[in-house]
Amino acid sequence: MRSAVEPGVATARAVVYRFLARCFSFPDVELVKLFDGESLTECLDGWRTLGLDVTSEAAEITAWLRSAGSEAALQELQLEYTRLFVNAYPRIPAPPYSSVYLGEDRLVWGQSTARAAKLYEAAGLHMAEDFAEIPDHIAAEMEFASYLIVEQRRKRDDSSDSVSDLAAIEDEFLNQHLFQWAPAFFGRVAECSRVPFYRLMAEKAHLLIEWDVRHISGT
Amino acid sequence: MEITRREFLKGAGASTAGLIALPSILEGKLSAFARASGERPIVWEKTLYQCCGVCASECGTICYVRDGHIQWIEGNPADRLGGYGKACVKGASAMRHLYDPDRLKSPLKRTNPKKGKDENPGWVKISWEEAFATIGEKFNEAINNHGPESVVIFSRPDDPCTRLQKAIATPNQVQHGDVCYTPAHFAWRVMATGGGRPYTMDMENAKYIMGFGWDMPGKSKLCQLIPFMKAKEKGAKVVIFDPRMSLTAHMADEWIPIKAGTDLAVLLAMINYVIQEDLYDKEYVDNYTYGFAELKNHVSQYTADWAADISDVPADVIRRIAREFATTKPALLATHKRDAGGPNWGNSFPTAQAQIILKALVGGIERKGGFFLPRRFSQPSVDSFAPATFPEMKEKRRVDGQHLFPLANAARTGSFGHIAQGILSEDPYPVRVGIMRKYNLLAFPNPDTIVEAIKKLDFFVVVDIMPSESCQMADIVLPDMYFLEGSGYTNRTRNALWPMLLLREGVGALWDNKSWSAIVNGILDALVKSEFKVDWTGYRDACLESAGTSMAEMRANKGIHERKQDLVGRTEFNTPSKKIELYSSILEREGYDPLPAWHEPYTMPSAEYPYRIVVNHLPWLVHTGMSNDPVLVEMQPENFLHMHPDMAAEIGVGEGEYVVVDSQNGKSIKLRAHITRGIRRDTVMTEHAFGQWSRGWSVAHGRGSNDGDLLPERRLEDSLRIKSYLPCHSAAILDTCVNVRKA
Repeated sequence: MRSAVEPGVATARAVVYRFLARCFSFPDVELVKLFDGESLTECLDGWRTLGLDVTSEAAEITAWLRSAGSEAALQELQLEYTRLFVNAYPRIPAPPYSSVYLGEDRLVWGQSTARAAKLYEAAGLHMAEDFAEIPDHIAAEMEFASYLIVEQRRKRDDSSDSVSDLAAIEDEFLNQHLFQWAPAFFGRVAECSRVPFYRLMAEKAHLLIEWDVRHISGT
Repeated sequence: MEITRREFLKGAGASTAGLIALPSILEGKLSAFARASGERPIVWEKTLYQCCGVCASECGTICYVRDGHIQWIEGNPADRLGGYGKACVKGASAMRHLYDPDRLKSPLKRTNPKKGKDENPGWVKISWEEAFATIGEKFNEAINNHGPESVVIFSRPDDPCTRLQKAIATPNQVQHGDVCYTPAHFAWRVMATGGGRPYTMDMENAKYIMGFGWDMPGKSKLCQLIPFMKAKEKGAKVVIFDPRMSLTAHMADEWIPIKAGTDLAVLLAMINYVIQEDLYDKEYVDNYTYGFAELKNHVSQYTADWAADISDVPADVIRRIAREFATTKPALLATHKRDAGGPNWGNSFPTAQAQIILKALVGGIERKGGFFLPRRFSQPSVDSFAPATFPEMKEKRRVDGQHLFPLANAARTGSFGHIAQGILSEDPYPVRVGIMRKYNLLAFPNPDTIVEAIKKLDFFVVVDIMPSESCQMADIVLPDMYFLEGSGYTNRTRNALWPMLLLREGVGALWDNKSWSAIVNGILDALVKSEFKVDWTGYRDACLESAGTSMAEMRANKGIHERKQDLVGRTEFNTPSKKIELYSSILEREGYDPLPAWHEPYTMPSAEYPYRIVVNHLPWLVHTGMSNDPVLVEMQPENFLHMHPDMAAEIGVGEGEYVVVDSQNGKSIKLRAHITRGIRRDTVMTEHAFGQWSRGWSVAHGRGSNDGDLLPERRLEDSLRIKSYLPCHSAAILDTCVNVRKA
């Protein structure tokens, strides 16, 4: 169970999932700040704790942001995000929804979406009004993974009984859901991205999932 | 409700020590989630009542939401006028359109200034605020510098569109009438209804059903297919005139393979025969029609032998069927909008007139087994609900030239056939900016010209659901709501044998998309014309209240509110004489031919272009609307050129081999041959809704060829040339001839 993972590692996982949730949300000034601000060190520490060093990749991105200028870089990221995940000619290469990978018909809002959304509700969360997306959007799922880890830590500090419920939710969410489609999704992003940012982040996200599968899956 | 670190700390009480060390990235508010339910709730299980919006048949359906999404759709048995408890292949497939990952999800801005069929627009997602602000700025710039007429709105004249048009005060609200229904619509308007064509037939009670190119049962239109099958079960005889064996012709007792474009000749001969042989309904004609004597005198020239030469239908067949039709009661001459009296040929308007006359001669309008004007709930107008003083529309001339047809202009039918030329030639004046809702550029005759016209505009906005060909040309794309997302009601017009409202309950917007009415309000704000905005929900509720119901009550009544009543035939019609005007006094007054006379189509086969071409719409598609459905597309992945075996032998082509079709308009397309005895040997047929070039369609892109490429652009000058028998512009979409050769 989760208790097998020591607290420092658990927090590192939470940080890395949250970091990736930001990276796979529509790019805004907060994303630029993430790569060119104080919190980056904490995030890099998180990766490092898992033995997944992204320092050089992050440095490459930060350097690019500085040389291109944050406004131009942001425009480029928004353009590529739209092309990869929103609407494009030709079609978006990497729809960021689980059901497109796990369902039979390449449709959104399938059974896998329902599985994720039910787990959100079981964990006491609802979709936010201003999150105008399908519940199984990759950014929501990465954020949810992070939230589950933080909540378990908080409840453990509270000596709350519901820790085991959250652990069970995390087990099901990761093993039965996220791990089933995220590798295919990140693989497609890494393959199709035309800017280094999404390629690098997708490659690293792929490594995180692999790490998680190795360390978390089946425990 | 946001969840912050502070909240964690508060909730955690004394044992917060461990949390102090939480990295700052974990402190912030969650983006996707909230603690409180109800912000963007997921409805896990619900039965939603809907009025199907896939085609215009208005079938009541029930959508079953299970596990948070619509899993299947059935007909609503409480709807006794639409699907009669059934859903057709299209209606039952609608959820795959709803959940198509290709759908437009957010406002988009073009970053590639170059526009064209092969240009990637380079979309970037933007906020609604930015989209509206840009539209407001560009539209106001055009209005202030070039007048409100420099704005063109491509949309059906629904309430939000009309409000937008009046607020801007542009005459240029252009819809698709001339490629869809204008002649039929307009003939009904001047001869009987004062409004549009009635979509309502008491088919179930007809004993004899005749149609000219009418194929509604073959289009899986349940509101016509089901009564058609009931009538057949009760023994009705069905006779279909069509150059090819349509699905309806296949189900008919007799298929008469008439020469394309000559229906008018047979109709005129039948009218003459029914009168000469005294077979018409004298009581009905005396009491409810106007101009019989003029008609009788006028049609005496049109004999069955004369029509046989033109139509290739033997004279004895014309006489026999005319006799059967007039003596089997009730007899129904079934028509809709794109059959022989639709905008297909240069002679379609007199064809539509002749069809109404033949119906009237047998007492087939407002009588059992015949046509009925729709019985509807009346409702308050938007302008009475939200009164406003609109700016004066100073410029009356329109870029699509519709002002040259004053009668049609009042009916707001619009011209897709001419608008491209109007924009390109800047006649009568230049237009600068445009907005298009729910129209595909492939719906325009010769779509290459409209592509060039759109390129000429300074700024072009598209409101749509899918990344269509139109979107590919847009500067800003606004994502509309699919009918399964929105809520409201429909006041039935199709098959409205009694007044009926149908509830529409949606699943809510899947993404950052908005309803058309909300989009219009947003644009009005951006134009600094907020005083013209409408509280659309309030208006909806006011309309329901005036009909004596509410959304909640309709839900309790299985999604239907109706006022059942016996079908009592009208004794007065909406014309100057209050009768069905066989001889139209309105047309006479305005200088048009009041009676239908024989005219050839615009084009006739020649040695160079020896074949006629007709177009079929497949029963599982609605134009390009369903063509991105991976399941439906498997039913026929590409379109074919259907031809008679004799013709195939003549040009030396075998089944499945490629042929090139050359059109008189100079364009050619390539199709595979399908050889069938179900078509005349001088006519070819292909299916519509193929050849989509927008690469935004991941399934539909690149399949088959677009029939529209072959079809002529019947511009204003064409319509004006035959103005004496065409009081409305008609694109005459089939009026061309082709050559076919082996590829």
